[in-house]
Amino acid sequence: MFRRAFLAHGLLLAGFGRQASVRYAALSTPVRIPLEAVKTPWAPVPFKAEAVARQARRVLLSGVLFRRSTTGERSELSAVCLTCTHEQCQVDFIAEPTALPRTDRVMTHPVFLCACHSSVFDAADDGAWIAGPAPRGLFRFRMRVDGDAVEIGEVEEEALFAV
Amino acid sequence: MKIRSLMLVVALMGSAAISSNAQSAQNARGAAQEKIYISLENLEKDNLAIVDIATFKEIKRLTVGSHPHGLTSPRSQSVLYAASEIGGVVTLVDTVRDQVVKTFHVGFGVEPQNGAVTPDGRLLYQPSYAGYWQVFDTQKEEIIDYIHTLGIGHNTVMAPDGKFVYLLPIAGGDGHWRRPSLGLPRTQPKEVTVVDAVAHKVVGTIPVGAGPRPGTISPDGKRLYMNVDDHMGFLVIDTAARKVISRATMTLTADEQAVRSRSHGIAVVNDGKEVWTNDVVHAVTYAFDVTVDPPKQIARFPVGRQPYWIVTSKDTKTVYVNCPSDDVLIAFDAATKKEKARLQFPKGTHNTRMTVVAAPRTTT
Repeated sequence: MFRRAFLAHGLLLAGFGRQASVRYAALSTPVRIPLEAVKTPWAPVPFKAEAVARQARRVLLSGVLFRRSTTGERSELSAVCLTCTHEQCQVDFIAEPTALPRTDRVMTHPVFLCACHSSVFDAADDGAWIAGPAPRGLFRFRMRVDGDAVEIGEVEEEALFAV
Repeated sequence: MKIRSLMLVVALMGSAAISSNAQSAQNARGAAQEKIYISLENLEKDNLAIVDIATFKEIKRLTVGSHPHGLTSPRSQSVLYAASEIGGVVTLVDTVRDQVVKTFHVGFGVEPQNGAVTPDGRLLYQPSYAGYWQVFDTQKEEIIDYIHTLGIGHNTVMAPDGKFVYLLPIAGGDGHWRRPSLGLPRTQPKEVTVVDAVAHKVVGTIPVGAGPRPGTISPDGKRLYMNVDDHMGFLVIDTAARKVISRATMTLTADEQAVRSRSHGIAVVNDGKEVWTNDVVHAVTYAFDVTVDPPKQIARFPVGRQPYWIVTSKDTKTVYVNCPSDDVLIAFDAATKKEKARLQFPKGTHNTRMTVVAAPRTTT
């Protein structure tokens, strides 16, 4: 009993630690996109966002907002930065991936693919890394549903130093 | 008498015609065929495209090792070495017949990158991502020496006379150091290593202040031009003095400055008078006049998405820019800076690195 409780708390703490380790920075101006625009699953809506990095450096980010399923839940929306975390090339959304480079994994849903060095990211998992030289997944934006729009207000702080 | 003279004239004309035809045939046999060999990053099979420069058409595909990431050819231009990131192999290609001759499985280490072969074709300087260059004897078909530069072995520039070879290890940012299971070196040397290409001995280093990226060299071997990390443009290195003497800097718009990019791909153009290089993220290629110091920007023009690599025809009058995100190869006239033609590859082909070879024509 004690062992189970210890494990449960340990896992909770580990999860909390992982969540807390990702820091987000506010965008200079939140980006608003009508919910209607992301009604269709796997139809990314491109947007530009602006933020300020260290030493007051202005940073422009290219992102996409998209719906991963048709349930209509807020959690089914993703917003990721299109800058590859390897060497800043812009990744492409591949709606129907066939054979993927650098992996034998068969994907039945869309991915993001970098043309420069073939890094692959999972569109169904918020841009998580799948394959290739990129060291991590795509940078993520934080968003909230506000009335009939999605408001994208923050981006992973690491993105500001990498892009 | 008149008839005899007429016969003589006819005989002489016939002889001249035969001689002329023979000379034409000789020229046809002797003339080289310029071709661009292009790595197709995204493909496992048929991953080396061959484009005939005269017609600007793709004439053949070959399958070399997985993810070709470096192409080099000796002065004879009759062969090509293609290094493959995955599988740790180098493939030998016959550029006369455009056939794969053999694949060298000699332990080229983690992710072989862009090597350079000596003009006589004897030694291939083959970098590995793990932080060293291998000296591969192409006749013995074995690695005969290792040169440790630390950093990540990546790009290599051979001097035109073959006396020196310049090793350009990338320093690497997070995108490199965090890569799993590569056992990478943890140093960021920010220098070029100069090697006696015949003796394969290090003879010096050139501090460059940032991670070296692709480089190229002037026709007389006196200037090494090199992209580096976090500088939009390139450095000018005096190879005799072994030091950076100036830097060429792109003029970016305010919006371009707000999006981090990198310079990647560089070529000497117009008989050594110009250097062209890419701004990858903003999809722009720049031309600089390098007859002045520092080099002066003389043109910038939009290209396809993610321009990645630049080469020229052998006369340096036509420039080729590979744009893998659009799967397009663009040809520019060096004099007018105008686009001449585009070669569109199938979507998802991802044409990245390339080299131009003036292959001897087959005599058969």
